[in-house]
Formats: sequence, C-alpha cells, structure tokens
Amino acid sequence: MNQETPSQAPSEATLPLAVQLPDLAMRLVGPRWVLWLALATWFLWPLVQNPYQIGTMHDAAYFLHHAEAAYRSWHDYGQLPVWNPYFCGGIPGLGNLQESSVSPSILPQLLLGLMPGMALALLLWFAVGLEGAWLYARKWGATPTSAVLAAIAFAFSGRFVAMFADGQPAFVGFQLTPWVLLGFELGMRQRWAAAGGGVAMALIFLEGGAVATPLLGVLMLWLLPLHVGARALSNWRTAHKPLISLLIIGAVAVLVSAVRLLPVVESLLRWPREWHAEGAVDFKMLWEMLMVKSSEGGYAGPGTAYVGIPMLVLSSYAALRRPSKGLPLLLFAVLAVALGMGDQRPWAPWALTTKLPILKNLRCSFRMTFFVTLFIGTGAAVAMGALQRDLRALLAWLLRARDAATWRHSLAWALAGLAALAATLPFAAGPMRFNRARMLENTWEDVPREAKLPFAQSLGNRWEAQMWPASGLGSIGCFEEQPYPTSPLLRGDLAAEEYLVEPAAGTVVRREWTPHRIELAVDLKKAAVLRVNQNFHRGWRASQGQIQSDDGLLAIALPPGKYDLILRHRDPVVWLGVAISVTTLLVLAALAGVQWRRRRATFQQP
Amino acid sequence: MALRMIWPAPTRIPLGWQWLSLLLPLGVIVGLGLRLLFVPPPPPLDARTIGNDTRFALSLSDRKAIYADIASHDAEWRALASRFEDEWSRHDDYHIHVSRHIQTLAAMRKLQLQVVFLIYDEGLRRHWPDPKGRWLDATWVPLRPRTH
Repeated sequence: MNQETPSQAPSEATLPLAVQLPDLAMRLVGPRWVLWLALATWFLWPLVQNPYQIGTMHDAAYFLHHAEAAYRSWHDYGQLPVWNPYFCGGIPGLGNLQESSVSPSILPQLLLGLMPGMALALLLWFAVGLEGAWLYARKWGATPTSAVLAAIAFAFSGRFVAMFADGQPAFVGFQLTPWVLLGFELGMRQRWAAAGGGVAMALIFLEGGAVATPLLGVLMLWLLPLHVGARALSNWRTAHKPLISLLIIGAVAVLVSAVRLLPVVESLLRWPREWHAEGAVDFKMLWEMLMVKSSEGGYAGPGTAYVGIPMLVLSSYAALRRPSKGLPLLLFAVLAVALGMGDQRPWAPWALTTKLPILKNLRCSFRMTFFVTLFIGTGAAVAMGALQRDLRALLAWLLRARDAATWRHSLAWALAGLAALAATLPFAAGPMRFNRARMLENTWEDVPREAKLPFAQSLGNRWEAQMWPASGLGSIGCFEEQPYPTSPLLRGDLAAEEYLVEPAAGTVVRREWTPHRIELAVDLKKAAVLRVNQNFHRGWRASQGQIQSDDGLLAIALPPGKYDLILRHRDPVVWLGVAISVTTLLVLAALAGVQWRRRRATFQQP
Repeated sequence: MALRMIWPAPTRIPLGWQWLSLLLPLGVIVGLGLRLLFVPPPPPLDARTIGNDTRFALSLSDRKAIYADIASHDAEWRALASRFEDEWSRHDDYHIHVSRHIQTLAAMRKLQLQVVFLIYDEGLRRHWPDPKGRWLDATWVPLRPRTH
C-alpha cells in the first residue's frame, strides 16, 4: 500500500478543512499544548486541588526540605543557594547532587510561592513530556493523532506515578527523555538539533537527583553502536554522525549546566558518594512492572511502570507492518529492558556499564522502564498511524477515489481519521486511567506551616526534615548520600549561634543573619576565638580575623577591639560555573537567531 | 494490495498561525497559575512565646508535659538503637523512634506535628529535665551515610 508523502501530494488540491480537523488541531502547537495541559491537570489533580501537601514517604520530606532551603535562600534573602545551612549543620547547596536549587522549576516557585510554584512546575514538566513524546513519535512516522498514544504511554506511565508515591520529585526530569533522544537522532543530520538535545540534558541535570541524568546517559551510550551500525550498513561514510551528535549533546549539556556541574563534581571528588549497587532484576519483575495492572504498588512492584499489553501488541505490529520504523523501536525497548535487568550476567549491558569507574554507583536498574514505556508507546503510535493510512487507502480504493481531490477522498480521509481516533482512545485510556487511579490512591500530608523563628540549629530530625526550614531552623540530624564533613561540636541547644570559646573575652551580638552573610557586633577585651554553630567550609570569608576549622566547626580567630564582623560565604567554583553557563546560553541564543534567519531566508526564496 | 494513490495535500499551516495559537496555552498556564495562587495556604504558625509563657496556645506546664512524655522514652530508644554498630546509625535509629512517638503524640493530643516537634526543640533548648531530672543530649555525630 502507499504511504502518502509530500512528493506524492499535488499542492493545488487540498482536503476540506473540516475533514482535517483532528490532524490540524494536533499539528497546531497551541491547541496541542492546551490538550497536554488539560491532560496533565486531570492526571495531577490532587496537586491542583491542594498544592500544600506532599507524599508521606520520607524521601518526600528530604526533597521538600532541600526545596524549602533553596526557596528561602532565593526568595527571602535574594541569594543563590550555594550553601545550605538548614541541614547537617551546613552543607553545600548547589554542590549537592540531590539539589534542584537552580532548576527551571524555581521560576514558578518565585512567582507563586514554593508549593503552588512546585505544582505548576510539575504540570509544565508533564506537558513538556507529552509534547516531547508526541514529537518523537512524529519523527518516527506516527500521524498527528496516533502520536498521542506515545505521549500518553510515556508521560503518564506508572513510573511517573511512582515518583509521587516514593517522594522523589526530581525524577520528573525523565520527562525530557524524548527531547534528548530527538536531539540525538535529528542531530545526526542537523547539529543545531543536537545542541537542543544538549540543552534538554542540561535541564534534566539541573532538576536534580542522582538518577535521571546518568540513566539517560547510559541508555544513549548503548544506543550509539546501534545507530552507528545501522548507518554503516546503509552508508558507511555517515557512520560517525551518531558519535558527533552525542558529543555535541554532551558538550552543550556540560557547558549549560556548569553552574551546577562544577560544584557537584568538586563535591563528589572531595566526598565521594558510595552506594553499593544491588544485583540482578529478573525479567518477570520488569514484565509485571510494565504490563500487569495491580494495586500492590511498592517501590518496584507490579504495575509501577504500567504501560500495558495492548500497547506492546500494537508496538509489535509496527515491527511487522513498518519494519524500518517499528523494528528499531522494538530493539530500543529490548535494549532498555536488558539494561533494566541489571547484573543478570557478567556480560549483561548493565554489568559492563557499571565497570566504568564513573558509573560504579549506579543502582536501581529497574528505572530503565522509564525508557521502555517511551519506545513501546512510540511503536504503538507508529502502528496506529500505519493502520490509519491503510484504512484510508482501503476506503479510497473502495470509493474509487483515484485521480484527484474529490469528495470521495475527503470521505475516505474522514472515515479513516475517525476510526483511528476511535481506536486510539481506548488504547490510550487504559494506561492513563489505571495510572491516574494510582495517583489518586497516593497518601498525602499537609506541608508544615511557616514559622519565622530567628535562625538557629536545632537537633532536628531527618525523618521529618521538612519541618525545619519551614520553621526557620536547621536540623543537625540529617542524612545525605555523600559523607559531607560535619562537626561533632554542633549543638541544638545553644542560647546564641555565634559564641566565644572563652565567654569572658567579650561580647558578640548578631545583627543580621542570612544563609550566606552573617553580620555581628563584636566587642573584645582580648584576642578570642569565635565559633559559629555551622560546619566549616572553604567558602567562608571574614571581614576581620582569621577563618579556621575548630574540629570541623566554623570558627574565627579575632583580634581585640570593637568592630562589626561580616562573614560571607562565596564559592569561586560556583561563580565560575555561573559565568560558563550564562556565556554558553548567550552563544546558543545567538546561534539560534542566526539559524532562524537563515531558515526564514531559505523559505522566502521564490 | 498495491494501491497507487495521489492524495490531496494536507493544509499547510502558516507559521504566523502557529505563533498566534501559542496564546491559547499561555492563557491556560496563566489560568492554572492563578488557580494555584488562590488556593489558601496554611496560615503561618505563630511560634512566639506570649503572655504568661504561653506558646502555641499551650501553657508552659502543658508543653513541659509533652516534652517529658517524649524524654521519658530516651533510655528505651537508645537501648533499641544499640543494635547498630556504628554511632551514626544508632543516632539515626533513635530519631526514627522520636519521630514516630511525636506523630503518635500529635494525633493523641490533636496537635500539629510541627507544633510537637517545636515543643521538643524548645525543651532541648531550654534544658527542661526529663522525668529523671537529666537533660537530653542535643548533639549529633558526624555524618556517615549508609551505603545500601
């Protein structure tokens, strides 16, 4: 059967707008985004209804604590959250791999407030994921209506619900996966697309967490030989292009995210993160995660990555009906499953990957199911598109619409479109309704209320970590995945957070406190050591005296006299990162402008 | 079935329409933002001590009683936590018990969890004695993350 292409379509004959409406609505960016936003709102309804709540798993408390600390620094004090004084007695903020303090999600938070802003940011991340998966499916040959299947299968897959159940909002970065893959695949022909993929990769990294960026990086490393092999078979002269595309993505991602990457790398080198990876995941477990509707839940239980058997069947049909599209997608899904099975064999992809020193701490291979849902959904969209085209051609043949644009063409087009839409809806509704029901089943608790106490370290409690920054207090009790140096001299019961080791030497009174600047009035009869109830860090500077580490506590050896003492936290590594990121973004914007003008000029030529 | 078809071209969408159509989702985003903005936030918590040493609408003796309830389990929780070899894990386990007990206490007394935590903090800070007349330790041990 034929596949219509622009070259086959006479430009003078067009179909009546009425019969093209579903396709037109999806091809127009605006209505399509309205659909994504509406679907995301429906899916994330608990957040829209009441943004002032979080999941009850304790990871939610951890991540909210860090979000509150960063928000306070940005909003209350107008400071880049380089240092987080609210946890462990003070630890790196931006340099913490788990932080999202410079993610784009900060902007809606600053506009609307922390919790409403987080809710809006999550809605937008989901809409961006829907759009990305739709574009990815279109790139693979799905029709405008059938590509909706891919969008829903991926962006509303069970893993994105598990993210709320497990309290790990940073996983929302996975929503940019199709954008990065689009950049990778289109970047083999057009370098600007690879640069776009690099920006998407940088945004995933900026969103925080220690999972999305390395897992997507691993997937792409394994996709690379597949693409190189495919190109080598068709035209060996272009076999290097996937590598070039990947290198551009990597370089742009590193440069754009330098503001966070530099301090994170520095922090990881000084305090390495040690997580012992678990062993293998069996195929049955992955199958049940992806294909079994179950209310059992759990961290990686049945249904926690649900996309459904009907999608898989459709995707397999694509491999038969349109092998040039469907087979690679199925192969990608198989690759993601193989990676997801972890250390099944010494030669398993995951086992080989984790032999690389930089990736030795990778864990929870089952999270590769994020990608499986994208490839299966895209395959399903390609199959549905093929069915729509086949049906259209069959109807046209039956109606004897052969040579020109007639009402018979319109009828065939309209009937096939309606049939495809009618078939797409139940396929999409299955996983969407099941996963949304799981979303509604999540248990939520109210966030703490804001209590503006003067900053002090409290003994705190990491199991309810979100309580402390909301109250204006730090929590000495904490947990981090990196062994940040914390002082045994930290206390949660001090009358003043800044105190002299020898009280008789004089007086110290706090004038102003912010996370990165502390102003004190000092009156000393003799030289003395001042302690600040926070951990020492090389970023601290003092306007008077000599900064030192007193058993890991921030301390300053002060001269006698009466003066104002100003302590500032400034990390040159961070500011170098800021300069690199800003410069890269400006250069990319300029290049995008040039590209835009060139394309316009090309289109305007007669 | 081999069909040679000439299909009419799908309507080409002018770029201007694409840009114009973006106004629709922008309007929806603004609407969503406004909706979220107008959900009333929980009222701020007044954590000041007022009048005759009243805080969170609780008298000093009520707060001391709450603190004493938590503090009375100190030895029991430390004994439970002693099953861990390293000191950080013992501290961490102790704090699980504190957290669970505070949750129970908050539910029993119909108080907010945050209020009970802040009363616990106040007791530590003001060195209120436990039922045996001792102060609870308000220090922590250097961070030693678990590796599993």
